[in-house]
Amino acid sequence: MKMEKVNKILMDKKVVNLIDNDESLEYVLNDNEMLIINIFNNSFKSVDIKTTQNNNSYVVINFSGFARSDTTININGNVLGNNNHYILNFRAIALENHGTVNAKVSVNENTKDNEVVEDLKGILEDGTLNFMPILEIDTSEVKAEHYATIGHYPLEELFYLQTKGISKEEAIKILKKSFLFNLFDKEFLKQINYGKEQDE
Amino acid sequence: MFKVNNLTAYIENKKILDEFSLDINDGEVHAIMGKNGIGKSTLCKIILNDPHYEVKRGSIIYNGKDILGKPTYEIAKEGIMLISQNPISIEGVTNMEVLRTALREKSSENINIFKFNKEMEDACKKLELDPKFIHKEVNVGASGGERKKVELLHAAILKPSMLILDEIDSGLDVDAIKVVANFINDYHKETGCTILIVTHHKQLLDYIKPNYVHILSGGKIVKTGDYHLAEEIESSGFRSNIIDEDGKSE
Repeated sequence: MKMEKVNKILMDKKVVNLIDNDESLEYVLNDNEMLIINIFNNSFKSVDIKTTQNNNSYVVINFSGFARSDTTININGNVLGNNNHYILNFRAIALENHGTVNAKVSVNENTKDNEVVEDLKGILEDGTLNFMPILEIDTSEVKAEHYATIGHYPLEELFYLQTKGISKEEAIKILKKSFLFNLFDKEFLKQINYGKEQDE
Repeated sequence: MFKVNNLTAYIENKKILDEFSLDINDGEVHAIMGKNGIGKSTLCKIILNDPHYEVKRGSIIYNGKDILGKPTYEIAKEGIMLISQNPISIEGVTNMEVLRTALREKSSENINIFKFNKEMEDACKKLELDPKFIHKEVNVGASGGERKKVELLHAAILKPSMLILDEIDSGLDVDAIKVVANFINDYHKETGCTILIVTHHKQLLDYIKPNYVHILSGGKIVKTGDYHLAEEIESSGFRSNIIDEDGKSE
């Protein structure tokens, strides 16, 4: 889900922007709170991220970066009450070695009107990825979705960019940037400064 | 000069082009017509070396160089641009980013922003396209007509010496066809570019008059004529004697 949609909701909002984060994180949300976590890691570290939601809260985790070494990332969402939204967008490009992502969301029994989405996408270069999206749902009054795809740079997009006279190397740079950063808002992108580095 | 010699190509072991040959002099407009699935789009993509196709034999010469099998971006740098019938969309990549990168690769000189903006605004005006499209993601959420116009906007900036238009009229309403055709005619007049049009229908050729019309059947050109050949096809269809009399129908 794009950030713009989320920002329109009137709630007590906290935005956490982290670059090259190597610390585990844990957040407990009160009622009517919104938490947006944006993380870009130039090299993934093994970390745990935990969120706990009570009622009427909103969690969006946008996490992207490069897997360069053997790492395990655990992302756990606990939904205890009613009318919560939990959205995880995870993007990884595996440059070397092996990255594992365990993404689990638990929704308690006797809860209702919760929506949870896990969307994990990976691109393989010279590394490998293993995604484990898990939904532990103990109620039928929930909307829950999870997606996990791992592949290579889309051939059609590469071909299209090359028909404009863009070399394969540059086309991959463009696709890499869009894949990793399409999740983030302009403010965080400025902080990352990745595009500028690439231009230089 | 653009010259295709005895091109034989396959997709998934199915022969699509069989000893296909075609000569186009610089600045000429040629149209290829043919039934659905006969290999028209395949030809366009093979020229740009789409990796989905396997070429077993032949050559494609442009400006004296054999471009067959060269990397797609090198073929584009030689001046050939393909506008496909369904231009894809790419999330997170803007038209501006594509064009700036392409221009940077084309020339080591810095981009003249003033010139770039002027050309872009002029092209948008001619195409009746909102200039905001330049900052939008490539074809994301765009209609079929807008996609074709965006691709022509790319052409206006990148200035190819040969345009390959693969069913550019598909999905366009009457007004949009006129706008697109006028733009292509103006571009042809200004640059003297070579144009290869692939189409099912005569309608586009009413606006962009080709020097030659070719009928593709059985993997090769079975008939060549002038604009009137398109009229014959329009009235009699591809199954008519126009093709059969030569004994070359599939």
